[in-house]
Amino acid sequence: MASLTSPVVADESTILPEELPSGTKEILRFVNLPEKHRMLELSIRPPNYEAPVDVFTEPVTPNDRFFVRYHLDSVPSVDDVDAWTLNIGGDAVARPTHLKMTDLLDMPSVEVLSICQCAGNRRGLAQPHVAGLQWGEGSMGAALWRGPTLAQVLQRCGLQGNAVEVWAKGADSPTHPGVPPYQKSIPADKALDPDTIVAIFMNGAPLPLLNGYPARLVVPGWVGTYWMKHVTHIEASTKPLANFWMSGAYRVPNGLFPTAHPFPSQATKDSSPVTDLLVNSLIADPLEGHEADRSGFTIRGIAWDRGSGINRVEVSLDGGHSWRDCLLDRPLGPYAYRQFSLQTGLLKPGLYRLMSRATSLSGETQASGLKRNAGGYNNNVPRATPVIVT
Amino acid sequence: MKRLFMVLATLTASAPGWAEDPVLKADSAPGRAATVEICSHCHSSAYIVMNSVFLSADDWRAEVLKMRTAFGASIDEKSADEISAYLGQHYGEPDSR
Repeated sequence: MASLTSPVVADESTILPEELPSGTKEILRFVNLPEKHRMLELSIRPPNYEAPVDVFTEPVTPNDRFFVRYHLDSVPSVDDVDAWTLNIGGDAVARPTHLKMTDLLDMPSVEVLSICQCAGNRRGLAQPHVAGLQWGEGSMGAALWRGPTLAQVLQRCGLQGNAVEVWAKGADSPTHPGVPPYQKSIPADKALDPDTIVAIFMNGAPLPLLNGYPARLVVPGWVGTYWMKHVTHIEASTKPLANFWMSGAYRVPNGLFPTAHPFPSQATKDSSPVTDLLVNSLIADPLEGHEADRSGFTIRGIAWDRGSGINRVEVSLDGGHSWRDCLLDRPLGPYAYRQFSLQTGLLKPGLYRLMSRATSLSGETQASGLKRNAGGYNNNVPRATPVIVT
Repeated sequence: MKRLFMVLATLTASAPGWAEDPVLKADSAPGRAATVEICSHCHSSAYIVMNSVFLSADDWRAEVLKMRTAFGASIDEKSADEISAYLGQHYGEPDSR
């Protein structure tokens, strides 16, 4: 098990969102970790760290600023995964196989620039609050992932036509014997999507340990819960996976959110797994609570969705009363952040409440009000960040 | 308007040092020892502090039950009662106590 040391680093310039629970504000602190720089710590064990908002002035998130999210407290160390093997099996493959890193390196690989976002990103900003990790806006990041497609890996093992789901398990494990091991599944069609890959490189480097070294699933357009880190077991199955992580967690009421890619084998009468990322946006500059000059400044941020692309981003300076269209940078890919900017022009001194609102190419706009759900998932309500103009 | 700006919480990570788990409130309170001992089998105390102050005493009881049923935490009935009461009292929404 990896032992985490986390020296606290001071940061006087960051103002935490006022909506966060008081206890969250008490414990949040900036830390440096092995392979990670100036991250906001939610918990040491299991390790959960988010990126501060200033990271999102760039469309690709550096590896050392990429968020960390674990459910289980035993994180493998690099030594533990030296002898790493990827076991491929299940009742829907003809030839169960063990693959070593050299096997993956020998396979043709593809690159996908994709956002990985926790389903609970912004949970801590919800009113009323919902129990869980009280994330602000940084349990997400976008990286250039590279590796063989999951389809190639499965086909090498004789994938059969009757597969319903592909199950994945990683090397992280619970210390306590009663805790359900973290295993997740995706529908066979999502597993065979040419953009779904077994990533062995992240932004041109091996994955940081805390992002799933040596290999993780990359499931573009879908929330991070399916992106299995330290993946060791992949099974193609004719049956739906039945465990707490599929049937008890990461579920939303049917019909509450737009879903382009449903998950029929895991749906019940009332609820379904949370899958697609919702259209969303974030202002990364200026930062919340900062001062700006009345001669004007540039508002910069990012917008994204499940992969349909961004059609429009509007910004408000008055808390959502009036909106102005932003300039959009060129798209970097369907699953990437799209940068936007707006030059304010001259402003009167005072308090301005900045907001951004994105609309996707598939016609979805950020929700105007919070869609409450027990897990606190899918919060894409535009939020106002105060800036003082002097 | 100005007041709104002033009530924003600023991050006060004071002098650099080494991160440790937050110390739970009320050193000698009933249930605190069981909370520290049992909850820390699986997670840091930050999970408790982070989820305050907004859960009712009943919500905390439900969280403890979830740890027992969904996450297989070995907590006997008596300890579960003690832990729930401690969390409700010290990390629960004041009106629900």
